[in-house]
Amino acid sequence: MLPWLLPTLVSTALAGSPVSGEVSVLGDADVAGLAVRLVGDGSEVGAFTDEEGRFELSDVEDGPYMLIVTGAGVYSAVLDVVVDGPLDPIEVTVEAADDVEQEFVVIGQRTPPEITERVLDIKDIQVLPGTNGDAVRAVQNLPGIGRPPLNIGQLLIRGTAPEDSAYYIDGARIPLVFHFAGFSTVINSDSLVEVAFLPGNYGVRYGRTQGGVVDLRTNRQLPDESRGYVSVDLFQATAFVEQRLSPKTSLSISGRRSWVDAVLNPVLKGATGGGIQAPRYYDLQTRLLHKSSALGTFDAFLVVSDDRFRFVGPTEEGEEEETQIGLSTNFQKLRLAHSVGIGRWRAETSMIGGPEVQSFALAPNGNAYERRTQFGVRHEWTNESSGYVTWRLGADAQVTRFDFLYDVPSISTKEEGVVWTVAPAFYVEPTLEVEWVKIIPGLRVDSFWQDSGYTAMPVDPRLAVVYNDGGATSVKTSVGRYSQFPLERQVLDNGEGNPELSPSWSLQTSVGVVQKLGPDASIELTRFDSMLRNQVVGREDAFRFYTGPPEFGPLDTGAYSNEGTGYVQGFEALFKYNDEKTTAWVAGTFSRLTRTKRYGTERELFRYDQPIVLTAVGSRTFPKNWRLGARVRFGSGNPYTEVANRFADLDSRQFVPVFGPIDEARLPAFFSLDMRVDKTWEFRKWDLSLYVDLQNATNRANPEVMAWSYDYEQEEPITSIPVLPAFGLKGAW
Amino acid sequence: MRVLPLMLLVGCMPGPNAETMIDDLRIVGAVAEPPEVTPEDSVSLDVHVADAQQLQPELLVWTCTRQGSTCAERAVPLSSRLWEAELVDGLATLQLPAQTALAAVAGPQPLPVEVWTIACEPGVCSVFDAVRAAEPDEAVIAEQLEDPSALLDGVDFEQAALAVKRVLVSTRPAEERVQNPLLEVLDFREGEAEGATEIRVSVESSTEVQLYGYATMGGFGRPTFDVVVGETPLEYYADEEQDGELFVVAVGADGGSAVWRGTLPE
Repeated sequence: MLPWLLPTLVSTALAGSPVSGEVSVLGDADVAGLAVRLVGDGSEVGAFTDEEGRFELSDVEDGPYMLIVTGAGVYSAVLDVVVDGPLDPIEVTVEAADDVEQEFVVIGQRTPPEITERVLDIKDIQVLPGTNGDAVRAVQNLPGIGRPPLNIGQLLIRGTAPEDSAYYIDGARIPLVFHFAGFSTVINSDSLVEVAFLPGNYGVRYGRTQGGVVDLRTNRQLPDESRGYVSVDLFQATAFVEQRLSPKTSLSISGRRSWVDAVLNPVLKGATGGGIQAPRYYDLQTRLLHKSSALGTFDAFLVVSDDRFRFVGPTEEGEEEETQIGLSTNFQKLRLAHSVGIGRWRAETSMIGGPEVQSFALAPNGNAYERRTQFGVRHEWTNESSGYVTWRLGADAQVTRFDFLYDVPSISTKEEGVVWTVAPAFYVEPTLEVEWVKIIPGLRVDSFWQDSGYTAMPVDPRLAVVYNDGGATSVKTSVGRYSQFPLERQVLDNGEGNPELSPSWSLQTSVGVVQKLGPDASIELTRFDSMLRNQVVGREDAFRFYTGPPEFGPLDTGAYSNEGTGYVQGFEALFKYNDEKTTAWVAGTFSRLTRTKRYGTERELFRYDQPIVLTAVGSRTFPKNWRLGARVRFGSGNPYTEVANRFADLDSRQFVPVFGPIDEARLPAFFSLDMRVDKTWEFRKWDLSLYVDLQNATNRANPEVMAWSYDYEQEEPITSIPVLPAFGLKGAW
Repeated sequence: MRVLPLMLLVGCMPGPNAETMIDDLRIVGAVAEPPEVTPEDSVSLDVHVADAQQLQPELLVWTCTRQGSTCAERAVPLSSRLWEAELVDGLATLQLPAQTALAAVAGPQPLPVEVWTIACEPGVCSVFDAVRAAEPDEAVIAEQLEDPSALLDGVDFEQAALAVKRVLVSTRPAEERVQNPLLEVLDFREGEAEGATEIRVSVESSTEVQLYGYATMGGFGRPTFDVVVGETPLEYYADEEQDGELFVVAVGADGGSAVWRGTLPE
């Protein structure tokens, strides 16, 4: 794997050019802290002036721009600038004005981009076919992500299990990102400006996970005007309002509730006599954004999410109804964030806290729950100067109270407990720019303390190098270590856990080329490898909350240990096209995922191994506010373990499967075509939009999860949903 | 193929339930009398086999007191824990000797002893050849018996049947030990649904009992029936062209069991 670290392609062309200058003010106004922006076609860079009015913008690609200077107490100034290599310093004069309202300009709204991140703009995502306008579901169309069974929203990122990946809101970790069955994300996409997908080799800002990262990035711009909408689609009803309360403050409120249960439950009750009740979910977000020229930006974001699914039946007395099987998840999180520019530095502080609960009930006496009350804080400094070195320094910490009970006699023995954990981390990441080379070493030190006495302190060094020829070609390579702590229950010294466990980790490498093909298109090719070590294995018979279909096959019931290893080798390709009317891309992931569970055992295919995953998606606007889109997906089926035979347990009256070789069989390949049409009618004060999203248009019965007849004699795979004409109606003002 | 029935369940339709229909070789039940014994007691075992394909299978029965992945009986001669039984009209009756070796570990808490049965189409299962050898390698056979599912390697589903039943061993007083339910078929009546025959059974037991119905032709309306005090009706749908053999199995919550087998009256 190491030879991949050595760049075999070296481009000697220049990186983007620096643009510098000085702003002077006619009249009585402060020259420091003015916002200077270079706005080009689809790009924007910016900086603030220092005490003497000087500014410096780095890495500006050649092309035409508008140079815009704005700020408190001055009239804006706009210049046309053409960047064609390094420029002489630009002199700008602005005029002081007492009656100019304070104007708040967000510079560097986006977190400095990671080398490996792929970003989707929310406006493009919401009209993609097959995604119901959901931001994170759109991410599943990118390379580096395996296709989850039953399309339930799991993220299988570069060969890692779903529980190895993490989700964030603006860098603050959240527990869950999908409602039940992946119907939709818990965050309304209209609260976001982009979704960043980091499949691997990301910087030191993200930690405690050995898989990938999805960072939902909220819109930190104050809205130009108040807006709102009400929408109804096949699964849910949504309301959203964003109100500008003052020149400095805005408030947004969003609520969403599934309604399919309200429609189907009476039908199901009649058909099944009670039986299954359709799942229901709701979420609510409230956000207050305040900007102060002196004190920076304050952002308070409250997220509430609740999912419930039940199967009911009569009590033993046959009279009342009780829950036979019940599953629920809910969380409430409050995120407070503050950012402020201090000279050439930007300081960001965010805190996120609140409870999260998963619970399960199985009549007559099964009960399980996991309750986490977690508080997290991050404090980070970045400087935006254009010199040779820019810095990112930060610390983040999580304090958690974890209360758990697993008491489902039909599944496993009882476990319960309450544990406290504290996990602080420190990271530093300088970026060195030497002409055409950008070198980004980073170091992250995580630590973990649990009140049972367990401690761990992995150190994760990371390195990324980027070559850019100043125009169309970039070459990127990176290597890094990514550590992940065991679960709290796994390290308890209670006879069930193993306090000797070490954190699992992965050593990830990647090398890639990005080639721009004109202003609207690009192609990206990436080779990635990952070596997984110290993977925690064992106790597969213990009760746990699954993120997807539970494993089926012989279980490893031994004690927890770090014996697991894994290898991931793969190749990603991404062709993108994006202009004013069209958004399209073709993504391909070719990979092989293998694991060993215990020392001395044979290497096996990982249960999520999908050698080929291909996605082509596109959407284009047409005259009169029509939009058409389509998505084609093809992928390998997942491995599964065949049942070779079975025997009868005459006491329980159940058949018990006898398994063949583990994960040696494979489900048939997956194919799906989705098509979507949107139409918007514009009225004087509001718009009405209608869409029809025909999912699985060819009605192909794709086997998703293998299942069997009651006696295991016949394979009866569970297939994907048939053709589904999802629709939606939205009224916006 | 079965489509995920997440929200699209439909109610049960009248007619035979597939889980009650036997079309291959199946060990339907094994009744130990008594179901709970002391280490000094022997046990009578009735093994009921449904042979829908007329394979005329050969039968092996053995015991295993599970100790992790091994059996405590590994140390005893095979002749005292492994028997080849003859099926007569689908029924094999054996007398299992006292498990005196368990006297050291038996106590008031019942200890489950697994009683395994394998029925194979003649010549298909290699374990029979190993057992019948002039000088059987007892150590190798004992090891094979500890992983019964391995005996099915290379054997097709329809060629063999393997089942396990647990007999309890304890030192409890007789009145505290598990007893088998008393199962009696009372009569047959025309059922309410079209084509159905109602088989009325009575069950006597000191514990909760579940009834299971099976048939080699036609089938029962449901896989399980809750016992009703007095008489319990079981709905059976006969095959229009052929008569088959019926089985009713009563399983007590404490591990006792009873089997009735027969045919519909003319």
